[in-house]
Amino acid sequence: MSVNNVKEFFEEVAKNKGLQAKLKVLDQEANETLDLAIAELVKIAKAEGFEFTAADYAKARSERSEISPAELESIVIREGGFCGIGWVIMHCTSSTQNGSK
Amino acid sequence: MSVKYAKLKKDWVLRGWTDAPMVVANLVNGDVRKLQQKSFYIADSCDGVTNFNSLAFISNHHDLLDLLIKEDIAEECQEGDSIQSYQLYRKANNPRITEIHWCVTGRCNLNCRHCYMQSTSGRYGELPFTEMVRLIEQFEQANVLQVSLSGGEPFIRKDIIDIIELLANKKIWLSYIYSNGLLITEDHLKEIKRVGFAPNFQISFDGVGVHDQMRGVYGVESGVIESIKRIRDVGFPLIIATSIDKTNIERLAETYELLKELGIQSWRIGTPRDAGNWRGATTALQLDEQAKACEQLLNRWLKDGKPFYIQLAGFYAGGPLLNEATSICDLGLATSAPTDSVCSESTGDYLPDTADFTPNCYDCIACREQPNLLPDGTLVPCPGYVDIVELETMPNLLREGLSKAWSKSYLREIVDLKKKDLLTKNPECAICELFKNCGMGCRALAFTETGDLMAKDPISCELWKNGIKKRFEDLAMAETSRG
Repeated sequence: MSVNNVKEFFEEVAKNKGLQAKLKVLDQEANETLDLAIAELVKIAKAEGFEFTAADYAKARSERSEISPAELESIVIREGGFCGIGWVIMHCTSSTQNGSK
Repeated sequence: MSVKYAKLKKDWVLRGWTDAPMVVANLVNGDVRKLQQKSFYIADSCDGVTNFNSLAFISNHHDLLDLLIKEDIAEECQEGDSIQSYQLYRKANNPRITEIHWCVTGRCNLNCRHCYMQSTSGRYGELPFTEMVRLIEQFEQANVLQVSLSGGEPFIRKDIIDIIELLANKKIWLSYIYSNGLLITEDHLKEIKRVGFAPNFQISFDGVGVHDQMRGVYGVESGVIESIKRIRDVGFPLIIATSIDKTNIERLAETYELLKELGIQSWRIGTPRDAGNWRGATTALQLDEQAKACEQLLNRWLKDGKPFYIQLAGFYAGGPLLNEATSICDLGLATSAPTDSVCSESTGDYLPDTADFTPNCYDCIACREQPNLLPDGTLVPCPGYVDIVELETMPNLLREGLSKAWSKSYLREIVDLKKKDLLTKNPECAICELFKNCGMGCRALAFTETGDLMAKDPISCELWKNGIKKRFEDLAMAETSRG
């Protein structure tokens, strides 16, 4: 049992809509205490094959790590509009290819 | 206290394609962000009903939420203040296609000497409204984010506003309208505003006192100027496109002054491509003649403090980017300023900030992201292929549908070309120190000039090798430093 198991569990949560739905209702307001909610989370995780304790969870929950730039990578940002080539000879360069400067 | 409820801002949507399965995209400015699984989970939870204080989220998730908020993609909200249905995640079964440059008609009210579409004869036809509806449904299924409308003359269609309204209903953003201006009425502009769009209008104007002779119909110059004023007064961003040849090049200075006075946002000057009506033209300019005229214009523009964005044929482009359009939209969508894009070495995709062409870059991001749909339903990589490529080799959306055509076709092979594919055919470019800047130019131009799609673009080569590009850049740089 370890903090790593918590992280792996949350990797699974990120891609599993069913698990997300189960966890999204777990909060202090929906349960009598936070401890009860966490106990429920530990139980759900165990059923999915991820074993950890409430203490592991508490530690992982507050642990921070750097956000990779790949998490929100721009793949297209452009002005829009075609480069003009159909109508006239314009020519692209690495920076004019998208019609922006 | 961390954010409890958040939602995507109104112009952001969650989409996916086969080559980019999870993205958050801005419908209005075309900003597309690829998401990793974890960031997708967070963006997908920005629905106004998910409680971020639940146990489904740990601290790193909150950091990602903070990032989405900082990037203006999401915002904190009240519980139940949910997002709109068009913002929900949708995955298309085709590669990424962010925009369609759509020639909605092959007909035109003018008879331009340089029309590559030969629109006076209506060579490429026009589809009835029922077919246009089917095409828009295909755009929606393929997750097209934006459409620009062109022709022929798009406003020659009586149903143009119906087409625009349908795009609005499907939440496909109308980014550009390319027109000669003459048929655009106040009612058209009001209607476009009413449905919630704020498109950039590109209007053709070929020069003070010389416009009509280039356009093949006399007495239309004043009408275009009136139209430009109408569009400006409504507040839509204005781009003026000017085609130059030996007959109007002397009027560029006067035209510049007029456009400055009219308060346009952008001026694009170019020479007609050797296609359509322009084939065999006797008044085409040599490169040195173009360069001389454009250099004079650049000097004037620099001394004036760059009053608008300018694109001087293949020589130079710069200045203030298009104005942020007013947020007039019923859709609740607001435009934001565009940014430069360049190529990522690792993926061949294009990323912000400056970089050079590399062998791993895709050949042309414009073709790869925003193909050209002709009036008869034929899809080509860009308008530069019109009257060059055999149209039968290209897919027709009436027959096979956009999703399929964009996934597997000869067109797909062209848009998947990388610089390295071209370098193997042109070894001299592989050792040329200017490759990083030139990137072997434009496929459509290479095709036009040499008849070989894989050849280097000879005009781009000349621009770089003869130092013409550098001369323009230095000129602009020197003036900017002095300023």
